[in-house]
Amino acid sequence: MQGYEVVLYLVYATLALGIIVPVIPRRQLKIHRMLAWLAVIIFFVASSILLYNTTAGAVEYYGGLLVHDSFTAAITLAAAIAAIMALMAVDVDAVLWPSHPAYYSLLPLILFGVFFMAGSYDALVLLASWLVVSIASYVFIALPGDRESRGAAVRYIIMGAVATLFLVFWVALHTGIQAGLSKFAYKPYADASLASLAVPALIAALGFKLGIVPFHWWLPSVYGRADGRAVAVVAGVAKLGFIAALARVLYAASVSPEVSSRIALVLAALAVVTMTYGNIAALTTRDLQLILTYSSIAQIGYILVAAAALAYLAPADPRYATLALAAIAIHSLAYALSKSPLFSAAQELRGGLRGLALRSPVAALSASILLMSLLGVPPLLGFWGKLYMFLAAIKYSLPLVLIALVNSGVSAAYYALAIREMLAKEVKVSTVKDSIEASLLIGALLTVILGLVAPQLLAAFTPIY
Amino acid sequence: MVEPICATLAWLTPYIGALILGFMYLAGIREEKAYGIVSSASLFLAAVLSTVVGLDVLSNGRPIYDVHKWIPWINVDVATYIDGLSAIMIIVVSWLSFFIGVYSVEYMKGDWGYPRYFFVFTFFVGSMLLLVSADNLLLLFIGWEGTGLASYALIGHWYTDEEEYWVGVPGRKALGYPMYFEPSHSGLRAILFTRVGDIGFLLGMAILYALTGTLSLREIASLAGDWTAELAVRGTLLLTLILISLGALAKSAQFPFHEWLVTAMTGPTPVSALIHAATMVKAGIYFILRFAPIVFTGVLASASEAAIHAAQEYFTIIAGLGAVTAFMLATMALVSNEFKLILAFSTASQIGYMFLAAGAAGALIEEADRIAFASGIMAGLSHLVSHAVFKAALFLIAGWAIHAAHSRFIDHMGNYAKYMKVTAIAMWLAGLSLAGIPPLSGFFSKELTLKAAEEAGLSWVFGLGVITALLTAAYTTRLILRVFHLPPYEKSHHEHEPHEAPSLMLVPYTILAFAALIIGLSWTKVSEAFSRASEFTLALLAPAKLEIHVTTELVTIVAGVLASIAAVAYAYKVARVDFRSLIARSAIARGIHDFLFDRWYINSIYYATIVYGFAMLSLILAAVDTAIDWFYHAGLVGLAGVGSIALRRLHRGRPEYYTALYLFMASLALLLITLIWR
Repeated sequence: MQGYEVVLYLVYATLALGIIVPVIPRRQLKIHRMLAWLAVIIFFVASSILLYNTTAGAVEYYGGLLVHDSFTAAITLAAAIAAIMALMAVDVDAVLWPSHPAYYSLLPLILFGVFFMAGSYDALVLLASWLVVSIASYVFIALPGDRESRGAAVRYIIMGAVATLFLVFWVALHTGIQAGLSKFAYKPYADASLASLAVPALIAALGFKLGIVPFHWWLPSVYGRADGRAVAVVAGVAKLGFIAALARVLYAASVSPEVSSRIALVLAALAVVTMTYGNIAALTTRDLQLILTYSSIAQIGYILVAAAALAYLAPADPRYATLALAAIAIHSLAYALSKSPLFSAAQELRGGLRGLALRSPVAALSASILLMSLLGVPPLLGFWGKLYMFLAAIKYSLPLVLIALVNSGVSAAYYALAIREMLAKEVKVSTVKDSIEASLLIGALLTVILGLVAPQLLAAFTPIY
Repeated sequence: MVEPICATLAWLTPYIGALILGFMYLAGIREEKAYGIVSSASLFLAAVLSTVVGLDVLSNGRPIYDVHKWIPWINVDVATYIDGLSAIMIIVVSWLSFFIGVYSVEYMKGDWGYPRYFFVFTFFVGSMLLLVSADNLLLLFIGWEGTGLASYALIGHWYTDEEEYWVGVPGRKALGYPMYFEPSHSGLRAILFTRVGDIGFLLGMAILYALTGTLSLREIASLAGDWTAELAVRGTLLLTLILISLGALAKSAQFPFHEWLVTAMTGPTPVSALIHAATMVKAGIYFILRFAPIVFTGVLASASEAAIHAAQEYFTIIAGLGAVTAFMLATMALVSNEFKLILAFSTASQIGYMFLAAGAAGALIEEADRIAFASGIMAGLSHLVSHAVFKAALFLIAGWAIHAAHSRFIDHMGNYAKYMKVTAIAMWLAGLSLAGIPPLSGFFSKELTLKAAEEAGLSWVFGLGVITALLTAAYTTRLILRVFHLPPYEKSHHEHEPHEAPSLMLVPYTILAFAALIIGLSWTKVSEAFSRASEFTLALLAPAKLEIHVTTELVTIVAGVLASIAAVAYAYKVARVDFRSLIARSAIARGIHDFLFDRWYINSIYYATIVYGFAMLSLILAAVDTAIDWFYHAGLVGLAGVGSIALRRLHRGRPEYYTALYLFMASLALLLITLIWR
């Protein structure tokens, strides 16, 4: 297998480039950026090859400790694209930050971690990659060096440490349940009483990272207050790894109908709370960064709807479980395509949108498309993500889907308000930088183009549709 | 044999006429004469075509069927079907329309709504002809609604609502509800009242279509055995038949739908004559005459005990409603003090006779006597025709009388016989025909309807019919004496001598009045024609026996009618009874008078229960709606807004507080999950 090893080499090359960056003298600004670009593009190529390889079946590394299938490969690719857009948006700005050249070094590191986290098929591998991504994220938030960013980073670190404890707790329980084996997929959680501890521990840990209510407390003050260009990476790139891990672990845990229906119930309840919380909290703000912050919570709620269906259908109806997985992948891609450039733009615009259409029509149009994709307007990619997620979830619970649809409807209010703000006659924003505009434009183009071919994408994934 | 297309052209011509009138108005032509000529010409052409077609059918004894493809997917065509019944109807309708149209040319002279009047009038005639010659229910319904629309427009013709155009005594109230009606209000009443029935009609049509897959009357008739049996098995035959007949009852102003016709008198008098006496109100009875044979033969063909029983009940209900209407409205006519109002009461009352005849004919269904049935149906038709003629004459005379007195109240009229001899003769001819005096046409046709009731053994129906005949004679005599032979009770505001009507008005009603006499004198011929027509009328197909034999009952009734006339004449002319002071003096007399004058309080009861009942319901629903609206637009939004701000307030950026929340929530989740897991 040719591509099999190549992927690993390329991923390690990404890491290597990330590590080399700090060694280069601080003055060599261009080289830092160039190396970062090279790393990100190499990672993009790696994840593309990986995705291609997985079409023939799952790919195992390290004796099955790391297993990539189409789902995890797609998520990895989405992370790569989001990273490219974030890097494009940040342009030379990170050079001015006191922490320079950390940005250009940590971005490849996060990608490296995402590759392992998405593919982890072992509790310990998950823990290790978790630590890599988490610590890189904490630092990342602090990179811009201003007061707000540093404050946000401190909060993130303190709470992240607690969440990590829960993950460690889960690793212990998981390994215990499986008689010392930390790998997934050996009839885990057959013991109900231990499982009843392991599942909440895992959800509390992952819930922290993903922003699942009620484990989300840190998220508004980090996403909402830190520098948007840093948040773009944490929310648009790093988060995808956690989404993949969530789906992977739950899928593996759902071996019997008994266990899976319980996991599904827990996830469904969290989904309802999460999306409702996010949508309602976003309703009354006009600040783009805050809208994006709370809409991130809501989006995770929608993904949880599909995750509940995935858990429920895994033992009963694997075909529909595949649909749920594919839907999560598509939606994660749509999410990353929107969030990464929008968070960068929010920083640039200082949250305000008023009159953007007059000042910078291309940016306004692109941002509108991305917001509409988050809302789920056909034929944009976000629409297909939601559609397939909810289609799969119908197999599990119709009321859950109805609640999700109502939530989608509610979310129209703040997305539409944001778009209307941009169309206002009165101009209150400064011109958007070319780099931001390019990032928005690429995000919008990809959202439209991928939206147009989404049904074909899905068909490549799963034989159902 | 004429070309079948002529049958279609007969009803199409007035429609085309109306279309031309509409374009003329749009083109800015305001010359009154042009409208009169175009309208009359199209009506005349329609009358000639109808006569050609009708006589052809009647003489050859073969129905004409003209079909043009229309809506294939519901199996509906533009199909005109002229059988015996339709042939008679189109001849009568078209010629009456023409005469009244000519009268209108003079009557409406100088009216500000002249073009509108003739547009709607001509449109009405087309709809009416379509109604009586349609082969399928959909086409019939289009004509039906066309006439209703025209009726609405013409009742409210003077929609500026000046007091002279009202109906009822201004300021009078019964049970607290006004008993005077403006034209615009009356128009609305008319269209709403008939709408109630039309909904039933539509539902009935839908049921028939669902059962037979066709709307064609001929096919429904040929499948009648099946669908009546089907409905009888489900026990819904009676309900369905009544549902279908609701439209007819409302259209023909039968109790409990009679109220709209009374106030329809706000329209111009020729409209009252044509639409609210001679033709449109006859659409209901026409439909019953058309539909009853279908039911009759269908039920007999189904040979189902339940179906026969249901049909018998249905026909008895129809006869009963007819008799009640005849009696009730006749009593109202006794005390009314408006010329047209008396005629309106009389119209509904006389149509009651027609329903009575049709119902009584069917009530004998158990005996399966087709000839007796045909006789009853044709009795209804003959009364329809003779009533159309003399009532049109009476209304046209009323138009002139009201014009001459500048008042609609008969108390302002008097001694007209002195000033207008020809009109007086016409009035007596038409009036006595209404009263049922031989040898006028009304005598024969009314006797036939009573005979049908008698033979059906519906004694109470027959009894009500006879009493109504006496009442009819009484109010007719009162009306004629009051207007033509007694001095006016009160002086009208306009002090000038009345004179004979202009010829364009005089000629039409004189012709019609003499037609009543001529039809009566040649009754043997006329009844033969009717009898033959019934042989080739859809689903009837049996000769009707329409001879009048001199029997004890007949003599008694005629004697009673004559006595009734004599009594009224004696009271007014000889004894000079002052009914006004009688009412003023006696509380009992006043009570009876007010009960009848206020139309048995039925109008007030409708307003109290239905109109204000629904208004109340509407208010309640409006309140509920406002509450729902508030909930969605203010309540929910406000709640979400408050919730939104509250949720964001939770995030105050303090790590220790977040950590505590996180741990608390995680423990809570752990607890809950552990509980559920077991």
